[in-house]
Amino acid sequence: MSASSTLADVLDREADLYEDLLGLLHEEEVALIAGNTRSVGECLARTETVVLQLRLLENSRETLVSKLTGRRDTRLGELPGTATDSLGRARSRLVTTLPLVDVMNRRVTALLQRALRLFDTTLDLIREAAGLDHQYTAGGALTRGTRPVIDGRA
Amino acid sequence: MGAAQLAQATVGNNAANASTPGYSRRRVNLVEAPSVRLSGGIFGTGVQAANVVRLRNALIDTQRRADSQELNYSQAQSSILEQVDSLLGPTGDSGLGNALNGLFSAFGDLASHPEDAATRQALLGQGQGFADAVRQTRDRLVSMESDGFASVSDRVAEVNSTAQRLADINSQTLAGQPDPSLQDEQDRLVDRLSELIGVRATTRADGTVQVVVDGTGIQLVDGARATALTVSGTPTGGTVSLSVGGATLGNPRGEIGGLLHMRNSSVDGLPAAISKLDTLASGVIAAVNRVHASGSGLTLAQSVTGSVTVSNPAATLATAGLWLTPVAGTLNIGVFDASGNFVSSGSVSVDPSTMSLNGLATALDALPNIDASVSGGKLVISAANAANRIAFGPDGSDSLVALGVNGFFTGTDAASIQVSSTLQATPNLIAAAQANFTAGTISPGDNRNALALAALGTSRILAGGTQTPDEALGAFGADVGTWARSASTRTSTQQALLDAANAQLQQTSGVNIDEGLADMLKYWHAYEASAKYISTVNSMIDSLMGIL
Repeated sequence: MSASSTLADVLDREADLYEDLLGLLHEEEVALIAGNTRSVGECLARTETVVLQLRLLENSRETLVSKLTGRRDTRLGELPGTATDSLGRARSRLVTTLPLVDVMNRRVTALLQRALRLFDTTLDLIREAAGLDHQYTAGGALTRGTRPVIDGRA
Repeated sequence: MGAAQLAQATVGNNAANASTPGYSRRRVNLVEAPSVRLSGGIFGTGVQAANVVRLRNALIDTQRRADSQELNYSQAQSSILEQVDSLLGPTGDSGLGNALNGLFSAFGDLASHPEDAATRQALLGQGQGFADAVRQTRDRLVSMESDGFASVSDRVAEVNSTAQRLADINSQTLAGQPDPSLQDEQDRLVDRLSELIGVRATTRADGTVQVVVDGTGIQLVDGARATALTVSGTPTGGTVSLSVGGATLGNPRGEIGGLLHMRNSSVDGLPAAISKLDTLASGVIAAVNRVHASGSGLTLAQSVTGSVTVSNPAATLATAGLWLTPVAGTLNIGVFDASGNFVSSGSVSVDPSTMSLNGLATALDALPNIDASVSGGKLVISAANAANRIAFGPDGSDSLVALGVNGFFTGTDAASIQVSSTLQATPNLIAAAQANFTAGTISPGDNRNALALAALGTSRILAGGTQTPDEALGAFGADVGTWARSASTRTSTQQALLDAANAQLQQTSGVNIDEGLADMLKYWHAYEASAKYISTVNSMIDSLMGIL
């Protein structure tokens, strides 16, 4: 298999994974809006796998491009003799999918940042209520003091 | 028993109002009733209802209102930008692209048939089509400005009535026992104010709500007093602003903020779109007229009057407020008799820093066989002998263009562009040819000027010599498309955030660390990890997009 057809194959697999990632991000968005922390955690586990696979493919892609041109950042259109249908199809899929992933990323990022701020604020409130001399373990247990209860006055 | 009945009624009320917008769940706070001392000892008397409280999380309320005001801000922008994009985007319905191509194509046809009357008539039609499309597009944008002003005025009236209603409720609250249903209405009114203009609300110990315009510290409602917003500005042009009690609101949010941004912004609002269209139109007018002004028609005119009025003809051309500032250069002009025989020619050196319109007229008037004067602020150039005709040669000073002499278009921007009425009345004056003053010739079949006009369509004559007309129009549409997409993305993100805050509000009943702290910390770590993965994905996307 030539380097260019291998490159097309790599890009095609990347496009598959970005499409999967788009689906995962959508699930995560729904879970974040619903406040379903368990589902967010499940999405994270699946995202880890996809991102790892993408990293490996990115390394392969950069190595192949480097082998073809001597540079890792050469644009696909500048690759010699690579104007193949399969490369064009893979590129076209990525051109369609990546902006969608980008937009979804922004939305999920905003939701995650919001959720983290809410967590931080709530934890601060709990910390205030529990007193400065109390600490929480990584598992969430209070090391000293009475466990306070906060009601709807947060 | 009475306490239990009240508790049951409250639960029933909660169920009945499950779908009521803005309704907050109530809870009956039960307290131990006073004991009674009897002869056998102290006996409890059960519980009594202390009060009914609304379960409302102020933190989430604040967040939700902030999201709501940002959503409405983005939505107001997005809605207007979608209209602008549909007008000017690549697939827009303004017809500008077709009209522009049609114009330069018609100049090409003129080059092929410089003596053909039908071709000249068709060119006038294409020119007017382009001018109409530009003016209509601008009219649509100005109409959006005017609609935006009307919308701002309507929303401000709603803000004022809403603030007054809140002040009335505050007044009722001060007069008696706080009523949960009034508190719900307070929340709904504050929600609406957030949507409209973006506010921060604080509930005081006495139950009244103080409302401040977000980010300004300016009070809208304080106790029983509401302060009215006022709108300043005109429906079109200029800047529209809001003030409260004489203090100007700098950057309001909410729907009104979004509308004001679109109405005022010279970066990505309607004024920016209008300005870009004006620049495009001015550029095309200048480029076409620059070539046309130096050409000659099938017939020549005995007298030509500029279309641009100069308010102070004694001011230098550089300071006379012309739409296009002339440069230092030479203006050439010739005279032919009615049969096309050469009579004379001459030239005038123009220095716009020292020469006024009056001075230019005097210099032209001094040329042989030429009369020149200023009438009503316009330059008039005539052959001294009524039987003779004038022809223009190269004008390195741009004076003819700046003064609207012998132009194809009249007007100076998208609002005023028209095909010259002189040419419409006499199509043979369309300058397809170029006179040769050295050889003293002028040929009816000469198409050199028409070729130069047609070549403008593919020349980089706009944006400081960096874009062809087609490219400039494409860049304009792309800019508008970028603004629209950006607003749309912000809207969808804010919608997602508001959905999340609304979902949290629905779940609000208090946070119990006994039940949730461990989970919360665990998920806090998961959320942080997720944010990091998204950051990784972003950098991979950037890297990949860079090579596509």
